[in-house]
Amino acid sequence: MMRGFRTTLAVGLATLVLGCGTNSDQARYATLVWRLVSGGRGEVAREQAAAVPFASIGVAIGRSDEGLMVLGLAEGERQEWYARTQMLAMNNGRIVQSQGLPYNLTRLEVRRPDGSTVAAGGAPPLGMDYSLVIDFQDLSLTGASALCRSSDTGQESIEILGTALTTRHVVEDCKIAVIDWSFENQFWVDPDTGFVWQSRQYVHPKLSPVTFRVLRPPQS
Amino acid sequence: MLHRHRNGRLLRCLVAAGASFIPLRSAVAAQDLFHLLDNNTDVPTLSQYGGVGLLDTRTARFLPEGYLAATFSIKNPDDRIGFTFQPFPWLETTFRWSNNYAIRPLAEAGQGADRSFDVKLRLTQESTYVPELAIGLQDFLGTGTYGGEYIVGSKRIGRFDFSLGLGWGRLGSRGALRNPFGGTREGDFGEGGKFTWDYFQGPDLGVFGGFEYQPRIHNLRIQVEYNSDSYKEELRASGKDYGFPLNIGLSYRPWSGVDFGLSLMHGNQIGVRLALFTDLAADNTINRIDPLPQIRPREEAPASASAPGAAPPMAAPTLEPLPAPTPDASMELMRQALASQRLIVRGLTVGGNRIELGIVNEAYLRDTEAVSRAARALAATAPPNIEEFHIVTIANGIAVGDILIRRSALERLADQQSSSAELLRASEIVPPPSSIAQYSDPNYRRFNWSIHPEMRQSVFDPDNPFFVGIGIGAEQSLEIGRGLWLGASESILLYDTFSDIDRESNSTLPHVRSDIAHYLKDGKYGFDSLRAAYYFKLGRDVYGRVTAGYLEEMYAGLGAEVLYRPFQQRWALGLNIWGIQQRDFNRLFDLREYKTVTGHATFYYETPWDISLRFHVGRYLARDYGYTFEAVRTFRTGVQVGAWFTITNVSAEQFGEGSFDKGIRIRIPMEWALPFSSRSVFDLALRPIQRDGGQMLLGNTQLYDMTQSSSYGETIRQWDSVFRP
Repeated sequence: MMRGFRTTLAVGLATLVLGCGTNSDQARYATLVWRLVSGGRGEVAREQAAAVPFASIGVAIGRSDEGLMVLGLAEGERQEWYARTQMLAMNNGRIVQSQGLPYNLTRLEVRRPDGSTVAAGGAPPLGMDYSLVIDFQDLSLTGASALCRSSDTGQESIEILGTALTTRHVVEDCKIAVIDWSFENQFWVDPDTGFVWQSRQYVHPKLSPVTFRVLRPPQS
Repeated sequence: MLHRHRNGRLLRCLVAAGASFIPLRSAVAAQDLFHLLDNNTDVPTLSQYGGVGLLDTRTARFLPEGYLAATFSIKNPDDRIGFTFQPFPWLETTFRWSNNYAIRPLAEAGQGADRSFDVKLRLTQESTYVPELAIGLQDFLGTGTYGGEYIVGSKRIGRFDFSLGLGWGRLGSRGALRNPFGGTREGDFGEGGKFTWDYFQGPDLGVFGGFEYQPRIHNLRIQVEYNSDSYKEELRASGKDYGFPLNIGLSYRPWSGVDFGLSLMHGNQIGVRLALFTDLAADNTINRIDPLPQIRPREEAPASASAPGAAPPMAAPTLEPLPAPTPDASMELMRQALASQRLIVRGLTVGGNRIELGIVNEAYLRDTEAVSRAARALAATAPPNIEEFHIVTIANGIAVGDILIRRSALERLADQQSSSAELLRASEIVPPPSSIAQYSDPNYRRFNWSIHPEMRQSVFDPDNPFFVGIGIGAEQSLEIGRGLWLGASESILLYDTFSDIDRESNSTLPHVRSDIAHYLKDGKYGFDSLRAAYYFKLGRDVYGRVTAGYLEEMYAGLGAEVLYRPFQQRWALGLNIWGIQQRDFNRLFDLREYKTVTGHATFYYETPWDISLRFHVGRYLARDYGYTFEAVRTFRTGVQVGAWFTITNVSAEQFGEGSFDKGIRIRIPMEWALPFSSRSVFDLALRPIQRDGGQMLLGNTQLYDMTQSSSYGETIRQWDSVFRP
């Protein structure tokens, strides 16, 4: 929440103490400055992914470094992915709940215009209007309805850990009118199976979007 | 009377306007969520005085606990810079520097500038029918330029937040009502800086109020207020009338922690306001680029053996079995793991199932974090038969902390089979040993140095709020024996504005501090300290040091400090005595004639509410006798905000402006502001004015702070945050 002022303060304070010596923080400043300048973020390496013998995804929030989450529970359509203190629950690639993030999604359901739930979740349904019904516990907001429209922008090749994958790129535009919040989710979907290989989804209005890519898919 | 009649009409208009908005409540949806995502919805607008309010008046709203705000307000007839801190949910404190251009022509040079303190206390919290009520004192310790008191209530109705208040003193100068308390107010405040005890007195009582409205535009507020301050002193001094009572303004919060304000003040003046605010209590550890390493149970492969080679993605990895490490290899692995955590190993030995580790923490603000990282490093690399990690933290060659951590308990925490509280129960925090003779690692580095940018500043001088110098600084230290140190720090200023300081000290006391401008102007290159120090322990709970040399920027000499800090107790007692001679302004080797002996007995107490108290009694630099009381609130983030005052046998007339020494202190750790760990801190002491009475030698009490981070209380306080899976 305090990011703007913090950044200003941090730059000012860094100017004061930037230096070198046996006990200085120069390596850390250098790392920080390099990240700010380069804009690059650390990704899970092929070796790291291969070292984990479980189904896994690489997850980043905004421009953060990518972290590894492993599949801890698969029950019907619901999959729960875990890191040390974070959890993402997905429904075929659609994030439906989060825990341990700075701001969390309490619940999400995809519904047709008639109110029936789209059980399969996953990539946005094409060719129909639909809504997302969302709870944010910290905002005391329950059952907020996001009206959504999605479009298939065409075929797109992505690369995960050096492996090229051909996907369909689906963009979903939603708006929760009651809090005047618009957001755009993106899905890179296997054209044959509908499997979501990569996605960028908003889970909370106060949090940068969560990006994930499947490093090792669950065994069917 | 005509004047009052006009004001009464305006007041009635305001009340009528307010009343006309009430029916709108039903038109506004009960669950109006449009502004739910606005920036800092829990932070009210800050007034031009610094504290929470509308424009030139206060409301009964408060910042959330732990917030610090800086406001910069530019308008005629006065510019203001305010620092507001919320130490408790019910208490708001403000320090303000202001320059009143209307009063200035009549005053002596510089006297238009004013430094003042405000406090505001919450009386009730808002409920369905009860407004939030607050009572406040404005400029209650300054020269009285802005002196006034008020009681104000605030009530939110839909998108409107209404406030209505009663004002005394300056805030009653428009005189809407007769003051039921009567009495007279002191017109001459002398040197200022004292309680005048004529609060809520005077012939008149003012009525002020207004509202803040949230339009359907994100982060925007519209403010309208009726001010009970008629600015009559400004009218008398300058002949210009700033008395128009109605002010209107816009406040926009484009980012979290930043407010811009634009207002039409006094009927014909444009006001601009910038407010920056932040939560000093907000935990920043989640954003660190150097998080605590994971606790590795024994059955897992050591960290250095985790690279499985270039196994293909989406395929099962293969881990090559590692050969069992030899004892020497184990020691090397442990050293590497500790070094990777930026810990300095003073001693590392293995005996039976226990590791004896002595560490020097120069990387982390909290010693408890250093201990946690050491335990994690050892858990990942120690041979499997090791069960106990005995970790002693060492500062300046003496032991200040001693913890025994059981590895199996740590592993249970890693497996989430136990909690940090259970780990604490399984661990032993004991008094640090009297001697560190057993910790003598041959690789221990005895010489340290650093070069860093240097900034020297003189803030809130009556003529200018900010004089600054920027340059390069350097520090060196060498441990020539156990606890025996040589140290130096130097600086060169490359750019400064100190030559613009033209105020000479008018102090009738020895100029022990008030010649600061000469040190800033003439000491553009020099050394702050050049000294030898010996640290020692006289017993389990008694710490001591002897220091000689150029002790600080203004003094050289010889002295000693002893601290009795009983283990597991909230209190401690310290004694220090120094024979000193004043240094020359050039900050080189020359000395001035002034010599004295100074020293204090200090009682320390850590309250259960994260507030540290210090009470010093003794002889000060100007040979005056007295006492100093300090209270400091410490947040879990390490940020400290506190205040002090000193009363000595120097009279208010002798002391000069301000009557006695007092101020506020803000200490911001770098690791709170930046996303990585650091021991660096930004320390700022703000005084209304620098005088000579009640001044201490800098660094006269060092042992308490040196032992604080590893103390029992601080270890318990920080435990949960550093021992987590």
